[in-house]
Amino acid sequence: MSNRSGNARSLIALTPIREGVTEAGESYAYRLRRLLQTLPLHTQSPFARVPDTYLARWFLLDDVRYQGGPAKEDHLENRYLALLVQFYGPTDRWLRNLWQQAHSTLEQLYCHAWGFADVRTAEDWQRYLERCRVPTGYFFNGSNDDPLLAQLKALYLRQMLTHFAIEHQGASDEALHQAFLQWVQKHEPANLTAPTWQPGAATLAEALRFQREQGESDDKD
Amino acid sequence: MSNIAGKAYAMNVVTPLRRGQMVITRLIHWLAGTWLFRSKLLGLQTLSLIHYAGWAVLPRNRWPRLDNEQPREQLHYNYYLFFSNFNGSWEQYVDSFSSAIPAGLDLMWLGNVGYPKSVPRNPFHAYIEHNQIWTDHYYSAYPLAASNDVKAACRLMPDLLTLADSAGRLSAEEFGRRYRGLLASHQDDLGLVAESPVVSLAHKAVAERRRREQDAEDAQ
Repeated sequence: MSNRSGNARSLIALTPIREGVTEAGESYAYRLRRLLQTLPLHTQSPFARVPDTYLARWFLLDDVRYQGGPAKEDHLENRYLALLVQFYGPTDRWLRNLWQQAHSTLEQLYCHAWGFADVRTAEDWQRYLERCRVPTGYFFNGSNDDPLLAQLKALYLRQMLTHFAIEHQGASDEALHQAFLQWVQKHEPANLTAPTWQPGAATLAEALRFQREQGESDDKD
Repeated sequence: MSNIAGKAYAMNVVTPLRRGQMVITRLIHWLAGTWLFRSKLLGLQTLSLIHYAGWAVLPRNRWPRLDNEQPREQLHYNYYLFFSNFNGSWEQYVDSFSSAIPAGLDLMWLGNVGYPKSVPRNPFHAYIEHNQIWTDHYYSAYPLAASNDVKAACRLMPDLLTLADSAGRLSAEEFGRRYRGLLASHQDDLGLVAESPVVSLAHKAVAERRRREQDAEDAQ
């Protein structure tokens, strides 16, 4: 059993949802699915605010599938809200950060889950999710397990260095040297927090807008 | 509903596992991380389109039960959950999987009810499709990047930092030599990312609608 591969961790949690109908006449499951499917995406996703989140998902498990005869037919007695996340660092820290950054979303999503009524604090939430947790049997890391800020800065610098290399092909050593020193000043390779890419940026325009905003905010400081 | 976040695709597959199989499956999971089974799963490393993937066992009588009033599950089988985050299309992934590690897949899904084996591919496709659960909300920290982009960027980073740190103390000639050395030794790691290609017209239509909505919000 392994919930980790290097510094990368895997979290799987299945939370049972109560049967019932809201005042608006929606079943709890229908409401939950509607909420999940209308959550903002990418940079606006609740996960984008949680440090060190590589990839994350929610899905509603309504039932299990019948495999046809001669298999026996199974059906679940409960629906489950599945949370699957791959992230960097300790699980308790990630769960606390999720609560701190997105507790209003969590309350909306989990308010019809069994046992959630007593969850009031980050510690309650952490204990609650631990009860829903399913251990990952085998976790495969095909990517990289550096902290997310290091990964995003590395992606940013790779993009910028590639542009630099294209633009300075055939330049003299003198010109190259001066241009690279300016490049270092502008892109601050050792500074992981800025300039860099925004977690969840789905377009280059969005990533670049974030850099501009950071620059403006730095200027104000 | 979206299984896609930029270049990443989220797959969830839930399948029944024969009762007597659970201990063996757990042993396989444990051995999968050791040299004994490395040859069977070596192909996973060459499947560079995967960010992260995993397998988990859901014992039939140990599904999360948080309240005495919550109905108790009454299942015949244990269940098996597979998840993956990969780049490219569903077909590319499933085909690559069955081509690269057919023996490894058969080992990981050993004892699953109805599992047809990974080769030939059509029954395997049908099995995955039948048991796949769609994702309702999916997030990637780097939708612009494939797994290979992340790995390449992180390989480049240490040498780039060294050059950036020392550049101010070097002569132009020495800098030029080291800069060209960096490009030569990392030529496989350089590259430009761009927005993901269209993988489905439906997804493209959703993305365009969202972009229009965002533009309208920004304009207000």
